[in-house]
Amino acid sequence: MVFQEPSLDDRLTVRENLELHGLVFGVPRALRRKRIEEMLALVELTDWSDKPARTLSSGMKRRLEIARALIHDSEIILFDEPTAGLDAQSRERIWSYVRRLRDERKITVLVTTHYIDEVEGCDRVCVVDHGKVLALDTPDALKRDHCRQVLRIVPKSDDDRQEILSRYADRLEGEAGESILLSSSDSLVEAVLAEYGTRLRSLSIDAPSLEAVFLSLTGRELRDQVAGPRERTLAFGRRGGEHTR
Amino acid sequence: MTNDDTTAMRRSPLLIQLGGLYGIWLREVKRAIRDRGQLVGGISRPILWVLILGIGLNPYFRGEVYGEVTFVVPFTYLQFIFPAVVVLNILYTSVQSAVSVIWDREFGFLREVLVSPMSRGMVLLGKVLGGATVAMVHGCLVLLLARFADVPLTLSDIVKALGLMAMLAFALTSLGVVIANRIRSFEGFGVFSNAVILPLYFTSSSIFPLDPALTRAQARITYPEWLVTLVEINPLTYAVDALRGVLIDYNQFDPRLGIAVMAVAGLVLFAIALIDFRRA
Amino acid sequence: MLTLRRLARDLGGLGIVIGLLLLVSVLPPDTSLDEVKANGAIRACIPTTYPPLVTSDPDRPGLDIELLREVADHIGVELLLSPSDAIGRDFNPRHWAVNRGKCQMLAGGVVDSALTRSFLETGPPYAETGWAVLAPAPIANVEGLTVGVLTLVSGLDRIGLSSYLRANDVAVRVLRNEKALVDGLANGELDAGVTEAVLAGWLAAENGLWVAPLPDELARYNLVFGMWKGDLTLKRKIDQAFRQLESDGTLATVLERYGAARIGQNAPVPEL
Repeated sequence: MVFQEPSLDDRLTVRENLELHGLVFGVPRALRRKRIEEMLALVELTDWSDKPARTLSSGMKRRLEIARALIHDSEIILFDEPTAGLDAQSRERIWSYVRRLRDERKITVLVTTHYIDEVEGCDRVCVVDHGKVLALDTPDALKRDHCRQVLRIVPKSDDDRQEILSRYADRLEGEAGESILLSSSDSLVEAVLAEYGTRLRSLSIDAPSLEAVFLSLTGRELRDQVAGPRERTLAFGRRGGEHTR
Repeated sequence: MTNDDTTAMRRSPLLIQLGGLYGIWLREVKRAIRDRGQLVGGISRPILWVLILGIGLNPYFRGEVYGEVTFVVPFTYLQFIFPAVVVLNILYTSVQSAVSVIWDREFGFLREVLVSPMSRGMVLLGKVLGGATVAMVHGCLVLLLARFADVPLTLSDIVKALGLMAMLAFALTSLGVVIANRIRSFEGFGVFSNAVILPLYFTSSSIFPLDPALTRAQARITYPEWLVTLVEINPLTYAVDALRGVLIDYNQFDPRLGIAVMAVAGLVLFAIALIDFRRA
Repeated sequence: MLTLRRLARDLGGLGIVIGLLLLVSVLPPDTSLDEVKANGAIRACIPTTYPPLVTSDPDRPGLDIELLREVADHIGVELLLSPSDAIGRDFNPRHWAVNRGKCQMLAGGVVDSALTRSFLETGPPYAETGWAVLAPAPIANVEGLTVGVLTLVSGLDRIGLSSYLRANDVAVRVLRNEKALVDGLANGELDAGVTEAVLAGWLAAENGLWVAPLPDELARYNLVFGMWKGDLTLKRKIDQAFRQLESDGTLATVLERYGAARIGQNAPVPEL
């Protein structure tokens, strides 16, 4: 289990954090020692092993948490937004660990995230909104089922425009300024190109993305909520409140 | 790695629980040692209370004429207040350690530990024992001032005092956890200090004695009735008294009462903490 | 290696705290010793006579007086005595008019009892005492006898003694001084006398009397010097002086000279 907010012990060193986890999860001493070294090497924190966790950057903390989750044996590992608030390099690094894990240790890795582009490489994707499962499938299937390819064309003349609009009225998705949006498929693209190719000012295809899938499933409204006691406490801790860490 | 995986699973559950208990205990102790703020408190309280208050008031509580009683307790004020300062240090540190439960639960290691094979009871026990150990250490810091306060300590005194201090620290840490469990949002320790620690301390007959030679009725003439009642219903009074009995050989109540109060309070508070903890 | 350094750093913080607290213990908590040194003299309140602790014989001034001198020497100041007739005469120590202004120490039969401790700070014990019975010839018990009681310096358990005597159906005569006791025993007015053990031992040796401690149910106490409560620095200095006297054998020599040693802790308790 890797949590969204860091649940490391800031006053313990990197190694002590891993030790504590090993003890709590009942990993025998010899194995614990071995695993700690292995996992420190995996997340590239060996040089930092005797530094207090509070001295690590947020990306390093996240890496340490991943190492921690791997000290004991588990068949499934849950990452709660492992990349939230991190820079691009750290995010890329973390995903490379996650992929290695899946491949090398044959563990089921369950990842939650807000960065929808990150889940492209996953085996299965589940979209959850307000606690309800809206969709669960492979990324490709999701894209196929929930998101159509959209052809965006801008004809050169008004005559052509009228012609296209009447001809593809059944496929019309809408008009945005000058461009016409058509619900598309590969054959349609070919047909349009063959017929109007020279009379178009521009043509683009909006490829289906998981982002589009997500938005189409969950809608576009913002989700504002009042800060609960938990958020207030967290804010207090972030301000450097005493007796927190 | 697949070979290792099976060995981890083969350990006896009891061993896992005890290992985890040790881990949590060790964490609490390490954290406290590295918390310079807490250490500063641990040293400034005894110095202020024993050195400044004790010495400051000492001359007002001493006999000037042989045969004339100015202080109802046959000790100097320094000696009198000394055991109470031990209790104060334990009180502060216990509650401080316990309060970190709030943070641990919401954002810290408890979330991590609660998904582990550790039973909740063991997690709580580790936490409470760790906090109690730290509190004991802080109590012992005060004992270092024994020579200064002219409290003679024999080995058996120290052993008995440590036993009482351990019971007290356990009960108070449990109390801290019980309070912490009922608090959803934590925005400062000041509220604990002002609402729990200091009122408990001041009404525990720590800084003034209820003269044991006086009957209840007489005590109520010396002090207003509400104050006497407050002191008598405060369980900490009996803990301070038991410790005083050991350290300076002075009891206002039956010393067994103190031990009984601490034992019962420790068990009951721990049980409540456990029930809350299981539910949380 | 690194973990060791970590450990050293952790314990270092704790070590600093412990060091600081121990350092505080070096601070003098009061001015009592400074005052004695500034005056160049330490004053002791004593009864006018309380053999063998305080006598009127200049060659053998008394056990307590000699010890006081040694202590004053150790501190490096002069010993000033302020004898008072009232001490030991009156039941209520308040009437002895002993106060902080008159003397820093109280000697001549102060025992380490709860009563003493409630008024005074006590120095280290140097001899043991309790109630003892004196008679011209050995007696089996005090039941039904006429007994003279000499209480002198307070501190011994008078209430315990009086209930013991009452329980034994004793006719009690309260005496004013040791002469009355010796005379009473000599002329047969008293069958026996009860007084403090060191004094009893002394009187027995001087007058050829039989002496025995009263039974164990009456507590035995240590003889000490009294100091004012809260005079910590002075008390520490006196404790130190006593340790010195004990280690160089002075204490044993002085006790021996006054025959107090035999009432020491290893003395056999004769059956009454």
